[in-house]
Amino acid sequence: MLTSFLMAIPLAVTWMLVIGDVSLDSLLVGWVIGVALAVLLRSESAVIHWRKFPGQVLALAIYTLTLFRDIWLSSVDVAKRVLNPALPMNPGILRVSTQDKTKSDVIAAFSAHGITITPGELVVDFDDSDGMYVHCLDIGASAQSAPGAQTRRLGYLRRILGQSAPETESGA
Amino acid sequence: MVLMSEIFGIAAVAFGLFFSVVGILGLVRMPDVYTRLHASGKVSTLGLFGLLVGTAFFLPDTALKLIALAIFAILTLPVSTHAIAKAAYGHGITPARASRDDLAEGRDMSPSA
Repeated sequence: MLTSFLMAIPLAVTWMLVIGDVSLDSLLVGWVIGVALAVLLRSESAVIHWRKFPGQVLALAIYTLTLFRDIWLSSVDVAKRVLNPALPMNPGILRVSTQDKTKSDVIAAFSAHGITITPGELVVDFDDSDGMYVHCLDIGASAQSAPGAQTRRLGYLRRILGQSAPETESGA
Repeated sequence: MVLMSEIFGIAAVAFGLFFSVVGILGLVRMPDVYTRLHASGKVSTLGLFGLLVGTAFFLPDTALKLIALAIFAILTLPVSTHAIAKAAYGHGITPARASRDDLAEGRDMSPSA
């Protein structure tokens, strides 16, 4: 509960800035809404440890930058294919493992988000184990790059969520 | 100073317009739902981003709101892309020109899915 109250402070500041009204009133309104949201959406998957917190923020920053680079590469790659008169592509649906033995919904959702934003790939479906079905524009290239990209993404996500990788592997 | 922000604004809007046009062109040229989603969903993300950033340069008062909009758009657009793709597959639309379909094989093994 204390964590929820504290988590609501950055939410309140963001709310105040977005509303564009820097006053105590809007800060309080933002804080009340923030506490409500933090309590409602509290997730067991994301753990805030005060000692790990700077590392989590750093991992989030690196992940966001990687995501922006991926959006850029993705868009340029797809744009090139669209503008090429021959419309070069080799589509198909590929099974990619989330590589997450804990089957965490949060990790699955964020990996799917990351994949859907990377070059020429979009997640179509999940299966009951840890598989994602990814539709690729160029299945040859994606089949080679997707598992490695997922390993890297999973590493960042675990650091952002404050989980240590070996712990969750053995706990599975 | 005003001139600089205008130049950046026009550049960002032109950038956004270019990717929006490419997204629509892809929507027309691609053969099926999934490939069209690649073109419209992803290319338009950058298109929308460019337009919002460009607007932020022209209307500095609303810059924070526009940046928040851009972040929310990037967070949510892939979700709608995935929802459309999943609905299309559930409806029995098979990917055109697919050289490989792992999902179809997975379905054969587990009919409950």
